[in-house]
Amino acid sequence: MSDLSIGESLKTSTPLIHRDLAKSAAQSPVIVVDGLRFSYPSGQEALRGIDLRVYSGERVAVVGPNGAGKSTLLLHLNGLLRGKGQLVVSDLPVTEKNLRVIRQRVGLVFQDPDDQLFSPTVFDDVAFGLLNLGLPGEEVRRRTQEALRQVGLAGYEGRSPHHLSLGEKKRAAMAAVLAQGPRILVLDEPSSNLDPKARRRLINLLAGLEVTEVIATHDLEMARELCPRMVIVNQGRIVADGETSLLLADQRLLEENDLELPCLGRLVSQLPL
Amino acid sequence: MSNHWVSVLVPYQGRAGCLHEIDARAKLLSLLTLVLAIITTPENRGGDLILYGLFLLGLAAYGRLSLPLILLRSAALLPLLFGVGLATALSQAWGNADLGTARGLWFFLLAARSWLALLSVILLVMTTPFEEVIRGAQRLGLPDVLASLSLLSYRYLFVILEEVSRLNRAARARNFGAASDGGWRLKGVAWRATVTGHMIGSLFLRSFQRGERVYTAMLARGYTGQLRSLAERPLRMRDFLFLLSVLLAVFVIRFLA
Repeated sequence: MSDLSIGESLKTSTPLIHRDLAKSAAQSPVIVVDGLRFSYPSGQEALRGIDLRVYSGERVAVVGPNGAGKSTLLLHLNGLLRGKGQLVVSDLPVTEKNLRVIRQRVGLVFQDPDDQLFSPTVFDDVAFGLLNLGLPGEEVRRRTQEALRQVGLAGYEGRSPHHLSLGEKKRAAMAAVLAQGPRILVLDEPSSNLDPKARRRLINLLAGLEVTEVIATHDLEMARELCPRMVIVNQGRIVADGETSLLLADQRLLEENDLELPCLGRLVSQLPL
Repeated sequence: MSNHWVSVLVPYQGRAGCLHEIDARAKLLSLLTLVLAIITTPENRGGDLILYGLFLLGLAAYGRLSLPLILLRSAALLPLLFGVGLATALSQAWGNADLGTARGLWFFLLAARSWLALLSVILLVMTTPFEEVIRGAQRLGLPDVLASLSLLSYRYLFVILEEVSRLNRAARARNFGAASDGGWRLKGVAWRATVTGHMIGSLFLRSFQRGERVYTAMLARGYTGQLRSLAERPLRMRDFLFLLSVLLAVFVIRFLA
């Protein structure tokens, strides 16, 4: 474990690494990010040299304060933003030529489901990506039904998105992405604004999926429950990367990155388990 | 969103009825024929309009639609008719008095034609979901861009209305527009207009940003500029029979009645 404090870490750009790298080296990464930098047209520097490896089957939480660069990083994983640096996803460098395949392999679920559910019916929305892949009608219907069943929305095919609750909208957005059979699922704030029951359904759903998951969230309880690994991003840099339980036990690290565990979480993290 | 907006913007009545099951293309072609026949009814054949009305009534009964609801929806025409009626009455008062009767008849025919045409449209939208109307029109030749624009506009109309109601609520929470609002009287119309203008501007910016995010979400799922849809379902015998019966009814009323 690194002895660097977070302040030193930010100054020296050396992230706190808690991970057992020897174990990771045995696997091949499905996401390789090296020195990724990105600035918005306004000049705001959102990413200032991100280095990240995500391995097959991992569930990684990306946490950090508002404006840290989490969403910007996620948008790169699907080729929607193109910064400077090296980015390889599912063994394919993110280039114009590979975008079609990469967008099939990397399913991106946006924070606001109203941004993602743009079709007049739930069926049309889930089928949208499949139709863009040029799949035959029968296959589109089969995969659409299957994805809706997977997220517990069977029978919602003909419903309009504006008639759904927020929890249902989030699951419909998830179905739209899962239908494409992604290898990597990238989610931006999946549990935000959900009531406890809808949040629980979502967590169970994410826990049951057999894909690599990268989840940007402020919900540290969910991160602890779902993700064995956590990456803390602040000011466009990764400032810590390691086992979720270890990082969450580091009160100082959390405070310096404007993060806070809920009360119960703080108690549990202090238990000598 | 309030149920009021949904009931206004979603005229489709989801219950199963005979008209509901007819393909949107057959219904659109029937509507076009009916509306064209109604609005081109000559002045000397005003009685035809009664027959068209009875035919529409028959269609509504066949589709098991609520007549009071149809009449209520058709009330949307009243402000327009009032405007035209007023203009007619004024021109009658200022113009040649001999033309009075003719103008009255002209106005009556105009009102009847408009009302019947609107009733036909109401029958279509109450028995066909909006997306099917647009998809049907697309298959009949509506350009893809217009179809996509219509579908996306309809989808996000509800989202934008929700934003409007949130903005309104936030403003009301700070006494903007309240009956007891001293500021409204103290600061006057200009101030109120400025605040409303800012709200509209804010709504525009939010909608613009949402448009960008929606486009990004579309790109993320392989959008390349064309909204694709599943292969169209072929027209069935009942669709042809429906279209044929409407064409026949129009022919009989226009040329034989």
